[in-house]
Amino acid sequence: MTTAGRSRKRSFFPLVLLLVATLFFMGDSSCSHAGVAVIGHAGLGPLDTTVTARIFTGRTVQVAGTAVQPVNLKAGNATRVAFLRAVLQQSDEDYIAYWIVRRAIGKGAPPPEVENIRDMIGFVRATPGAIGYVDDRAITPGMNVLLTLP
Amino acid sequence: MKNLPWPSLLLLSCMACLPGVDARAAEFSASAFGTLGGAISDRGPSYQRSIDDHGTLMRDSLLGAQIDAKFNDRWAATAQMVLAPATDEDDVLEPRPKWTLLSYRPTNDWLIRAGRLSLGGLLNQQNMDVGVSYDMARLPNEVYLLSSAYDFDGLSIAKTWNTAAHEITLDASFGAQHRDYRGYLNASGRPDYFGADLTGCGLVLTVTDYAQAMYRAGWNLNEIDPHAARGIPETYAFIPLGGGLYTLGQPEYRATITINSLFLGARIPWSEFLISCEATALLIDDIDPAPTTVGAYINIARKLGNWTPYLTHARIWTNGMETWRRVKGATPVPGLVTQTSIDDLASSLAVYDQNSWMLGTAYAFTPKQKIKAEAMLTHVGERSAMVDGDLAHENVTVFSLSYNFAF
Repeated sequence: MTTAGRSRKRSFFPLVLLLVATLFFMGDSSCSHAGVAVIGHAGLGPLDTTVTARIFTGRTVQVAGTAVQPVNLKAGNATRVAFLRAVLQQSDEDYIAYWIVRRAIGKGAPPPEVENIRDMIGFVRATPGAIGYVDDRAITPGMNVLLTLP
Repeated sequence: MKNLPWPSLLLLSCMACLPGVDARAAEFSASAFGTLGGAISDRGPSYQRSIDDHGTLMRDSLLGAQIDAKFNDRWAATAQMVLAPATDEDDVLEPRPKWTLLSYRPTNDWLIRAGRLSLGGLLNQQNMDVGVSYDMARLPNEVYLLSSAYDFDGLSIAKTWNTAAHEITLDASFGAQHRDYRGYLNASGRPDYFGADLTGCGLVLTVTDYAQAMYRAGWNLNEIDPHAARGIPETYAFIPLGGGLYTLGQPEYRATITINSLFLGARIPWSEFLISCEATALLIDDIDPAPTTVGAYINIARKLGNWTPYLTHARIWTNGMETWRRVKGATPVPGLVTQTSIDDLASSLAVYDQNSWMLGTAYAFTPKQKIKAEAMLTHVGERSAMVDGDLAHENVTVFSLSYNFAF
């Protein structure tokens, strides 16, 4: 190594270490949410959180021989945030990032999205194999509730 | 048009003929991604093909578009095009297909894909063009240098096992591709490209924990058939001149070479940090121009709100330095070997002796938009073929800034 190279390297590293230490030991924050019910098209059976997580991450496409079609609320919706937190232990941002990678590696596109709970209920009623979620206060008699999340 | 994936286009054309597939009923979705990235170094010789002290947008910039078609719950197709620096000449952008594939998923556990695929075993092998999908400004070239060697027109069969805590996937694949290799002739001051046909197969084992942790091990076997009448030099001949001097004779040639590539990688959450580390070994037939090469890196990152600062250390070694020294030390003989040809030959050898420190951060405006900034300090040892020119026992500092998006 030349003298010039050594001196450049020496002057670089104290700054590097200072920046790393400062950034790494700063604080972070988190948040919490409330109850969500997973609903399904007529005929679909109960689910557990593991299978629900696999469905909404594209890893499971059939349940008991029936093709399933997950559907999400729009990004940022509070019920969607609560659902992702309860089922995947993931933030909305992490979930979007997950699908960016999965799509980029040729393993499918993210589930379709609907605007609101009313559209969600309508999509699930009308689409064979559809699985969605609603705020548990939106549950009405006749809905096929597959899983209730705390 | 050599880069068009004819086998996969043929497959796409055949989709309408498949039983149970109604192309008119397909659900289509489109997405786009890209990186606008600039990089500048403190050295004149180009590093990593295009980074020099004038700055460049060519090293990291890329634009891509993807269409996904879902025909039913079992059949789907994906086509991804990228506009990126050409593989067979410098300072030129060209469009080329990255993925064009049909996928068939008979059950949850099996996935069969045919077409143009990226089959290597690196952690970010398949998503490396989508900059927003990782936080490093640039994936360490010490390991990702030859990642494009694993893009094939072929077939991939993956089986997945799910346990309570982990998802385990074994992916077997084989295929063929045309690939361009680049060397740099120091004395002549120009790049030297040659094309080759590759056939290959591989196995990749991936274990994930449904969250952030991922462990991957892989193996690829490639046979390279260069587009050259005499093949590729196998062994250089050194002719004694007396007095300890020697010159270069006619090398022995061979038609094809075989490379075994081994991959080992892990991405592990540790407290508030995410640690990624990878190693790759290219075990090449006993030939002088491309000796066995080993590369590795470790990256530690921490998410702090929208910021993700990181620190990376990467290294690459080859065992061909002795051959490089011997070629470099040959004596020109008038009418037989010139100093220019000796220097050009030495600089075209794929030998690496360097390590890099990268300190950077990503700032995510949203999950689909990131700005990344990085300072990289590379120490070049006796020789690194990533540098166009003679640079030995010196440092190269590179500053990079990029905007990455996916929609």
